[in-house]
Parts: sequence; C-alpha cells; structure tokens
Amino acid sequence: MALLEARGVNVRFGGHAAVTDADIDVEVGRVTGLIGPNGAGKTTLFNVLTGLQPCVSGRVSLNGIEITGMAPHDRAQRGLARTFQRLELFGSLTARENLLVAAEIPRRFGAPPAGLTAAQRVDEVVDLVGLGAFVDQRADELTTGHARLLELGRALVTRPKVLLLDEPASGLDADETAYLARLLRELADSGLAVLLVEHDVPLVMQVCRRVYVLDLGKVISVGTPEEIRVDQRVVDAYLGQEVP
Amino acid sequence: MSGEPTVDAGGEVPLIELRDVRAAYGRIEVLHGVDLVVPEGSVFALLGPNGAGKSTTLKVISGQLHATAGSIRLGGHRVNGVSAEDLARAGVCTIPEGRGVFANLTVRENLQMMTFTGSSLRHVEEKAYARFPRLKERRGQLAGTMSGGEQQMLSLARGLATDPALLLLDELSMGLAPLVVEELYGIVAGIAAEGVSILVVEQFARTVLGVADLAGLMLHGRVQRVGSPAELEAELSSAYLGAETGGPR
Amino acid sequence: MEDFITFTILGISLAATYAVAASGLVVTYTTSGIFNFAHGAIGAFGAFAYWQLLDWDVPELPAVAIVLLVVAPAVGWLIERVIMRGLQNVSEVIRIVVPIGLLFGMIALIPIIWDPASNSYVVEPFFGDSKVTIFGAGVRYHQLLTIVVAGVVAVGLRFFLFGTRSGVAMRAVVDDRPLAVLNGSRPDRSSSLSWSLGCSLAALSGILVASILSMEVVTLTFLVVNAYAAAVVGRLASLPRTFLGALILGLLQSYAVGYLRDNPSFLPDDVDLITNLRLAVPVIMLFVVLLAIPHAQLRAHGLIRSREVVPRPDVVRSAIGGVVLVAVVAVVSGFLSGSDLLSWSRGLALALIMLSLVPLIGYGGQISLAPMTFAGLGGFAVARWGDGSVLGLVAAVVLSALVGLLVSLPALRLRGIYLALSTLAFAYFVEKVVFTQRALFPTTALPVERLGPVQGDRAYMIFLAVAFSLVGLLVVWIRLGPFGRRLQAMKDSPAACATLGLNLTRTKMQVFALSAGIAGLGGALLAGVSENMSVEEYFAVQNLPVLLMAVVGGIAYVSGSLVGGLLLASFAIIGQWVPTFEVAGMDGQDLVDDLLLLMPALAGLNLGRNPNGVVNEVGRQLRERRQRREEERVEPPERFASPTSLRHSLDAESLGVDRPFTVEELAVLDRALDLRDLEEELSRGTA
Repeated sequence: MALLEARGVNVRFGGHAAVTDADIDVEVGRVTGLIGPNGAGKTTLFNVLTGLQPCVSGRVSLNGIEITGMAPHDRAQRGLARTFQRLELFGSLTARENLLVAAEIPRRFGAPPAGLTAAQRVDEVVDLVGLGAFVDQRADELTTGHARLLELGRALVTRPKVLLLDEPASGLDADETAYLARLLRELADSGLAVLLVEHDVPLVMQVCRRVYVLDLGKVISVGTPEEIRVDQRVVDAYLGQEVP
Repeated sequence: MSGEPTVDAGGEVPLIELRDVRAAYGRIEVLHGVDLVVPEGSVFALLGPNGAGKSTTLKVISGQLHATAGSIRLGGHRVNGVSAEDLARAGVCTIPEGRGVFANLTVRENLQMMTFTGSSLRHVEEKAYARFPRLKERRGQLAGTMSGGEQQMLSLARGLATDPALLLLDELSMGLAPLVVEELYGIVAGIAAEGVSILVVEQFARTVLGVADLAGLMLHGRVQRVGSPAELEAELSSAYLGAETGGPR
Repeated sequence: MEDFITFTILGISLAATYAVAASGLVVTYTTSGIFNFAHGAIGAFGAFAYWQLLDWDVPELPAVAIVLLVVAPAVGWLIERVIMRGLQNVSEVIRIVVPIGLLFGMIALIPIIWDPASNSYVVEPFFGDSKVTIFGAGVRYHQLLTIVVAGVVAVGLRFFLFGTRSGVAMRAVVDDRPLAVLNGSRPDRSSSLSWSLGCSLAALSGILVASILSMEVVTLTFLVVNAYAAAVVGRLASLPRTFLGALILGLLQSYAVGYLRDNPSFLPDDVDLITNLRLAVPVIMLFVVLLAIPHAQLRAHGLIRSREVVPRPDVVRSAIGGVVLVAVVAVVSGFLSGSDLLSWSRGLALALIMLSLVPLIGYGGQISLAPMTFAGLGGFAVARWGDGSVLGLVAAVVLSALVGLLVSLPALRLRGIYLALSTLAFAYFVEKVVFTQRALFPTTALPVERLGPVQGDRAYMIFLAVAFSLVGLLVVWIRLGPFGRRLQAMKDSPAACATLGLNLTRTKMQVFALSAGIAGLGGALLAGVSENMSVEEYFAVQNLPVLLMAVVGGIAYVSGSLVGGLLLASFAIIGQWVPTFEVAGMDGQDLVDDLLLLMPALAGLNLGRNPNGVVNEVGRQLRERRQRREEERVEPPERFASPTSLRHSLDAESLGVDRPFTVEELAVLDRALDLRDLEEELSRGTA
C-alpha cells in the first residue's frame, strides 16, 4: 500500500470541475511526478492532499489512516510536508528563523531523535540542503533559487514522511535545477516519499520513477517516464489537437 | 538597436515591436531581453512551455506590468509606462488568462462594461449577439453560472464588438474541451479576417498553428525562434516533453 | 396592541435610519476595501452643514439637496483622493486605523467650525411635531418620512448599481479589478464615486437623526456603531441583506425598550441586567452575526511584499533603553509640577497598555479594538483586591488574561476587519453590561490604592517607567524566542504555518491572553495614577485613540508604544504650556487647542504615507543622515570623485522620469555626462 493515497477526489469551483475522480499513490523511497498543462488542476489536487482545499467527494489516507477531513496542521503532525508554488516563506524572518519556527513546533507523533535541540536539527538541514551561504539573510531578500531551497529545507526540518513539492524548479537556473534533481533523488533514497508537481518536464522525466499526467482535472495517464513520453494522449494534452 | 522604430522594406511600421524588454515580479526577473516584432494585420502565436514568460510578455504589452528595461512600441509609438486602462481605451483589447468575464455581473452588464472603449451598448450587443446567439438567450444570467465555453465566448465578444486595433489573447484554451477550443479559434480567425492584428499566447501548440501566420517560440524569458508555424512544430515537442535529442537544456 | 404597533413603527423607523447609514458603509467598503469608521462623523458633519444652511435661511428642501448633492460628495471625493487612495499595499491594521484617524479629525473639526458654546444647535424634525394616528398609535410624520426615505434609497441604489454604467463599473471593480482595467474603465474613478455616494448616505442618515437625537458630535458619530451589525448581516457586501439586518436590529431594539422592563426576580436588587442588555442589543447582535460568518479558508498568497518593515529588536539595546528611560524619568520628574507629573504618568501607563498591542498586532497580525477594555478589567481588579499589595496587580493580570482567553475563543475564526469589529463589540458589551453595573461599580470612580512603597506622585512615575521598561524587555525577549518567531511566522503566512504542523488556534489564544494580561497590568497602573478607577476612561470609545496612537508610534516597536502613550498624554499637556497670545483678533490659546485636537487625527492620516510609525520614521532619518555623514567622510578617489557621485544621484526619479530607462537612453545620458569614457577607463583599469 502506498504511504499517501488519494481515491476518487473531486473538486468543483462553482460550475467548473477542477479535479475529477483523481487517484494518486505516493510511495516510499521514490519520487512520484505529477505533470499536466496549465489549469489541469495540479495545485488544486495538492491543496486537497494537504488540507487547504476541501473536496466534494473522495478520500485521502496517510499511512493507512484516513485524513480526508483533517485540518492542515493535523496532517502535518502526521508527517505530511509541502512547499508552495508561489513562495510562502516568513518574509520578515531570517532564513535560519524560518527553519527554527518549523523545528520548534512540538511534534505529537514521532518525537525528534533524543539529544538534538531545535537549533541542532536546523543545522543538520542547513548542511543537507546547502543553505549555509545565506542562512542569516532575511527570507524576503533571497533570490528565487535560494528561497526555493529554503522552503524545501523548512519542510524537511519537520521530519516528514511524505514531501509534496509544488514546482520547486520554477525560477531556478540550469545549475540550480541540476542540484535540485540530485537532492530529490538523495531524499527519496533516504526513505522519503516525494510527490513532485513540476512544469519542467525534463526534470520530472529525470528524477521520477512514476509519473501521473493530469489534464482538465482528470488523470489521463500513469506510467514510467518512458511510457509517458510516447503516450499519444499525453502528447495531445501538451500540444493540443490540430484544428482541421 | 537604435531609438527609432524599425521600418520594414515596405515602409510599414510593425504594430508591436519589443526591443530587449526585461520585466520582473518583485526581484524575480522573468523576461530577460525579449525581442518581438508583429507586423500589422497578422496573427502571431507566441508559444512555449509554462514559465517561459509568454503571459508576462503579454502583460507588458497590455500595460499591466511595466518593463524594467527595453522599449515597447505599438504602431510606432513608445508606450513604456502607459497605463493598462489608457491602452485599452486606445484600442488594445486584452483577454486575460482563465475566464475574462465578471462572474457576478450578468451577460448584458458584461457587455455594458465593454462600452468604456467608446462603442455604444447597442453596437456591442448587436455584434455580440449576432456572432453568439447563445449569449442573447442568456443575457440576464450571471456570467459565472455559464459553462466555461460560454464564458470564454463572452470574453471573446469584447475582441469582436469593440473594434480593437490589436487583440491580445492569453491561453484562450485553458481548461476547455478540444471541441470548444476549435469553435473559439474559428471566431478568432473571423476577427483576424476583419484586419485586426492578433497576438495569441498558447500552450496548446497545434491548435493555434492552423490560425497563425507567424509563430515565436519562447523559452527561459526570451523569444528563441521565430518562423512559420510549421517550422516550429518539431521544435515544440522537444521543448515540452524534453525528448532525449535537442532538449532545451 | 396599541403599544405593539407603536413599537413596531418606531422600530421600523429606527431600522430605516440604520439602513441608510449601513448601506453607505457597505457601498464604500465593497468598492474600496476600507471600512469607514468615520462614517458616523461624516454623518454628523452633514447634519451640521444642514443646520448651517437652515441658519442662513435656506429652505429645508434646497438645504437637504445642497448637503446631499454637493457638500457630502465633495467631502467623500476629497477623503478618497487625499487619504484613502494612498492605502495600497498596506496591512489591514493601517486600513483600519486611518479611518479611525479620520474619525477623530472630524470629531475635532466639527466643534471648531460649529462651536458648541456659541450656539444651541437645534434642527426641527421634518413636518414639526405633527402626528398621524395609525391603528390607534400616534406616529410622527418625520418617522414615516424616514421609512419612505429608506425605501427610496433602496430603490435608488438598486437602480444606480444595476441600471447605470457607472454603477455596473463599480460592481465590476469589486468583482475583478484587473479585468475592469482591461475593459478601459477607471477603477480609481469608481472608488471616488463610491466614497462620494457613501458620504451622501452618511449625511442623509445624520440629517434624519439630528432632530431626534441632540445635535452633538459624539452622539451622532457613534450612533452609526449600531449600524455595523446591519452591515455585517450583509457581510459588508449585500445591500438587500444589509436592509434586512437593519430591520431586525431596529425591531429588536424597539421591542427591547418596550417589553424588557423588569429584572428577573432571582437577581439581587442591585444587579440590573435588563437596562444594560437593552442598551447592548446592537453590539450583541453584531457579535452573534459575526460568529455566524463561516471560517475563512486558509489560502496560500505568495510572499507578501508590504511597505511595512518589521524590525528585529535587540535585548541589550532594549535593556539600555529601559535604563535610560528610568534615569530620564527619575531626573525629569523632579522638575515637573503636580498636575504635569500626573499627566505624564498617565502617558507612561497608556504606553504600557499600548505595549499589549505590540505582540498581538505588531508581531502576530491579530487586530484588537479592545485594549482599554482589558485595561479596565485590570483597573477593576486592582480597585477590588488591591489594598496596596502586589496581589492586586497579579489579580489584574490574571483576570484580564482569562477574559482575553475567553474572548479569543469565538473571535479566533475571524480575520481582519471582522476580528476588529468583534473585539469592538466585546468592548461595547463590557461597557454597557459590566462597567455600568451598580453591583460592581457603586460609583463611577472606584478608589485605588497605589502599591505599598510607591506612594508619592514622583515615586509612582518612576515606578511606571520601571514597569514599562521591564514589560518592554519581556516583549522583546518573547519576540526573539520561539513564541515570537511563531507569531511573526503566523503573520507572514498562516497557510505555511499550518502545513508545518502549527496549531494556529492555540497560538492565537496564547497571544490574546498575553496581550490582555499586559493591558490589564497597564490598566491597573493607570488607575493608580489618579488613585481612582474611573470607568469612563475605559469605555469602548477609548480604545480607538489608544489603537490609533499605538500605530502612529509604531505598532511593531516597544519604543513605538512609549512614543504613542506619551503623544496621547501630551495632547492634553502641551496646550497649557503655550502662553496666551492673540492672532488677528482670535484667541491664540484657542487656536493652539484646536490644532492640538487635530494632531492625533493628522498623525493617523499620515500613516498612509508612512505606515511604520514615528519611531521607524525617525530611526530611518537618523540612519540616513548618519550614512550621509559617513559617505561624506570617505576619502573620494582622486580623479573620478565628481562624476562618480554624480552618477549615483542619477536615478530615474531625480530626473523626473517615472519609467525605467532603456539601454539607449542610458547610453545617451552617459554620453551627455561624459561617463562613457570614464566607464571604459574603469573597465580597462580592472582588466
């Protein structure tokens, strides 16, 4: 069974169906990709998983426990962490303080390893993600690349089981993207379940073992990157159908 | 790169001319020097993957976002810093991404909002209802309660009824079924036939290639290639899906 | 039966007034996003303008027309143009405080124009006292007219908003402002129009009630607070529901007056619940309606770039500041006369109360309009259980903190203006039901004993300075610790906090309790200044100047509270120091007094330009000056000195250009200023 599971998720905005009957599995030890053209419903689905968006019907479970109606902070306490497409850093705090806020929130499940203070856990993540160069800068003064890394680091400080990343590569240059790809694979290898929403399809193809393609709110294809690449439905979704 | 507008061989001034335009959201620069020339009377498709800067380019042209550097000329006039409402009144009709309608206004009130560019309500209603009889049936209905396709028709009615000089379309097809998209682009072709210059931003590449005379491929905040639509098609699939050969990175 | 009809008609006529006032509030709020706390004051201005015209022998109808069609719209246009248009990219707090500044400006301005001492201002009801009998009940024509007017307003607004292009544009701006711009409509013009319309409606309600209530500024101004409940029934957006809310409110109030007469027999004789509840009907309704508003969904909004800066305090420097404050107070207090000593002591106590808002609003972004109410609870506790011992202060902190916790429970679901209104409703409720309760307050001023060792006025002032410094240090320490970080994080992005596992509800409750506790302590010490806890000092209205001056000083700064508190106290003090003089036949003293009355308002209105408060502004200017001086001290490189500095000053603004430069333009400028060669030389030098 997958660590994070969504079954039959439906979301409507007024008369518009944003997500229709979506099923998603996010498994331990690998990066799962979620791609699709603009307006396909990726971020909406993400918000459903993390509890920021209620769904009309459907079920979400984490580690076998249903979390569909749970508040966002309860889900986070159970091991779900995320980043945001448009950065949601604490702009008036320094990068280190951003991490500290996350580290200092008491955990109800899975106490942090004994003997490590919040500050020490922050230092660990600073090393892991490579934030050392700008850790004392104010968050709203960081470049996009650094800000994205900081958001990733802030999610990691909470020691999540599942990590949901909403377009972590947007605004990064080629070097930063390559670094991110390496980092994501390392995180997955260390036993994390990662769900990656990304516009940068080459990155997804590079790091994901399994990719979901969303179009018009529906999952139109699932498979390995190789399978997805040759799937005619995916090509159509991305390139559109020719007007005769 | 002089301060003078470009004049092509026929002596005509291009309708849109961007030179080395840069633009940013806050400190994040999104356009890193866009050069773009759209001749008068043409339908130009600006294509590219998400995050390439297509919509931002359109926002800069329509005055919604001000460029941090470079020059923007419309019909030879420099328009850096001109406000979006003044450009709208001057005949630049922008249909934004998503639903370009006032959801809590009725169809008729939406049409009434189109009269700020100078047309009379009667003229707007006549033109809109003639092209979209369905809107006439629904004129008393709140725009937000119509289907996605109908809403998009209503927003497109502005391009039709206000007789603009330039029509800017941002992702007309977003979230719509292929048949509806087809119908909408049929209408765009009709507007083009009246001599209106059109700049279309699209992700659904093939859809647009049938309508456009010219196409530009945008990647990483720059227009990388300009050519005939057919020429660009091959390059597109690699840009989107990152095929092993010839990927953008 | 006759009674019932009388009360019903009375209620409907009351409802009509509320409806007119509330619909004005709603019209401005929806189009500009600003809740106009000054709405009632503008109504009062309209009423006085009407009186003035009558006094100049203008007949009633033309006078009404001039006020509604010329004076009030002009005032609204001016307010939007000069004050409100500047309020973009500022926080909710500033958007709430600036109209409060306007409120005080109007309250100060009206008596300057229409001096209450020089005239008795009386406006007769329309049709005088003539009555008509309906089902046996006598009803004034004026009341019927009010009802008719409300109906006309309803129909008129409906026609304007749905039938005219300007009205449609106004609604379009509310719906989707960027799209309205793309349509070529002018949202700024819609905003001006909505303020003009809102002010006309305010003036209309003012004229209608002026003859029923007295022509007195404060009464007229705060009548509109009652209309808040009606506006909130319409969620500040829907006019039909606002009218419905007004109807419910008017009837409830009228029936409460008519039928709630006797206290239930189980209450002790000196407890009067009914009179008090009757007065509190509008605020109780406001509170209940606010509770029915659904929980706002958490939303990711992206990194916010507000114009407000949030300072990072420093414990050592704050401690030094505290010591300096105590030392200065110790010295200066030796030179102050008896009454000045008390006035400045009041300022310090007020500063302590404002300090309670620093963690709550400044750090946590939760708006409260009830600091003085919590302070009042503290004052009550120290009067009741004080006896000169520390226990009194402890009781003050505990009582206020507990009540703060209790209030936060229902208020937590709310945000922004709704949260602010719910705390204001709480403040009015406490004023009407608790502070006027004979069992608790046999007299309006309870004697308070100062803390044992600090009996003298001077000693007490120094004690206040010590207390402020210590609590200020505590606040700084909290800000630098986990809880302060968490508050700041919650203000920056609630959505991110929640997805990191933070329980927002608990955090908000904690900060509400902390803030109420500090306010309680401040209130207890304030009561000690005059050795009297006089309830009027803690009435709901008093919250407004306290919040206003706290924000003017700098809501995110401990030192901002100090400045705010002293400013608030000084407005009463400076006036006495200015020697009397005559300006062109006018009494100079009066002129100074008038200006001083306007000061808080002017300071508040300036917030649109500098939302960070006085402390920040002064700090910034000092820093800049120091920087300039340091720059001057740097030895200029020999040859390039002048062109380099010239180049620095060549930003777009100094040249009067309001758009970005193009590369070509820069090249032209460079050539014009002979910089081209310089640059090449520099680059050759580095190569």
